[in-house]
Amino acid sequence: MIMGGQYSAAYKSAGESSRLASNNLLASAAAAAKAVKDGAVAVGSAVVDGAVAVGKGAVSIPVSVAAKGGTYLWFKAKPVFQSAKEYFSPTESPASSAVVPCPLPVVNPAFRDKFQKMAGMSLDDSLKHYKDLTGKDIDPKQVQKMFNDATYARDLMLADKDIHTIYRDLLNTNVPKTKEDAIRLGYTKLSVLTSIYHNPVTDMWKNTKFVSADGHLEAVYDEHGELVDSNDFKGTFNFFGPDQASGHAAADVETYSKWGN
Amino acid sequence: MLEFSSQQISAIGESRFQERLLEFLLKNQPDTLGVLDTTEGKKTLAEQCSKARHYGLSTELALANYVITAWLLGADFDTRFAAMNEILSDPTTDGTQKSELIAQIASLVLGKLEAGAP
Repeated sequence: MIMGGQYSAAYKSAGESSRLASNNLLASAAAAAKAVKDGAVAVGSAVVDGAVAVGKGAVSIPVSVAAKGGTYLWFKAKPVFQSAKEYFSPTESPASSAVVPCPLPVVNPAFRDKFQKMAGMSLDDSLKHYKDLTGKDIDPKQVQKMFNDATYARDLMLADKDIHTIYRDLLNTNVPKTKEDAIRLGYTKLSVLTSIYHNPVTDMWKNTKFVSADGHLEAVYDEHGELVDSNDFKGTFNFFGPDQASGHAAADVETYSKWGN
Repeated sequence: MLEFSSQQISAIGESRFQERLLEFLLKNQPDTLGVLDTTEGKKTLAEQCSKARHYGLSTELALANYVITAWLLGADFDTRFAAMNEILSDPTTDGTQKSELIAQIASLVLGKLEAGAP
């Protein structure tokens, strides 16, 4: 598979001659079909020496050319196809694997309390606001699961941009409006490195990122200590705080890679 | 209550499948490391899956066979190699058969190459 410059380099290093050889292998079908001899490789009906024949056509295999090319140890085709048979479903489509039959657990009252304190609004209010803004419903049980299952949160947000952007914006509305308030409320200032995506490339030190004590709410303040609310640089809600590295990477970073801020 | 739309289910399933496919390739074809696990590599992986679907391949294994073949023979193997093109474009062959045939050809061809002598 040619992957731009990277793969081209890998391909060449693995054996440009073998690439050329394999190109020839499959190029002159008609000529190869005529050369029927012993010791052939056959696929389908035709059998030809140094050739693979498939159905009506045949594919020349200039093995002698290939032999000059050196080693082909990276060509481990047969084992990889065999392994694939054990790893992938021969009958199911990828969409089928997305259906998760297990029911979501009911919303725990403790989760509702936690949500209220965190977001400054009730879980039901957040869902109502979301419906007003998007016309879409989210089940409260789904929201609860998003806080407990990073893969689930990621999948849901990858499937629906509005959850990644609009619902997370809603959840992040309770952030302090000034840096001074953030400090007073126990927000933690994050390192410059973690703030690089919240600054213009021409002024990497301009804005500073803070997260709430539980790591969920995220606020970015400018050099005057005022909340930054531009789409490009504003803070974004975290289902998993920066101290929960793997969950944060899946639910909050991978989705950023697809949808942006 | 939010129900996943069919589009969402497809997107989730496709996303998971491509992750598993990448994981599989990284494990079984170590030279994919640093190539396929990049933003550009993942994009190409998705493009190859899309091409496979265009030829009527739809199951996980059929898509995987197509992508593996593309990795081994080149992203344009479907048009560069006449025989492969003939198989993939044949309206009388179903997707599963097509994927088995291209995998079989790739194995035989590359096995011959690896053997190095007629």
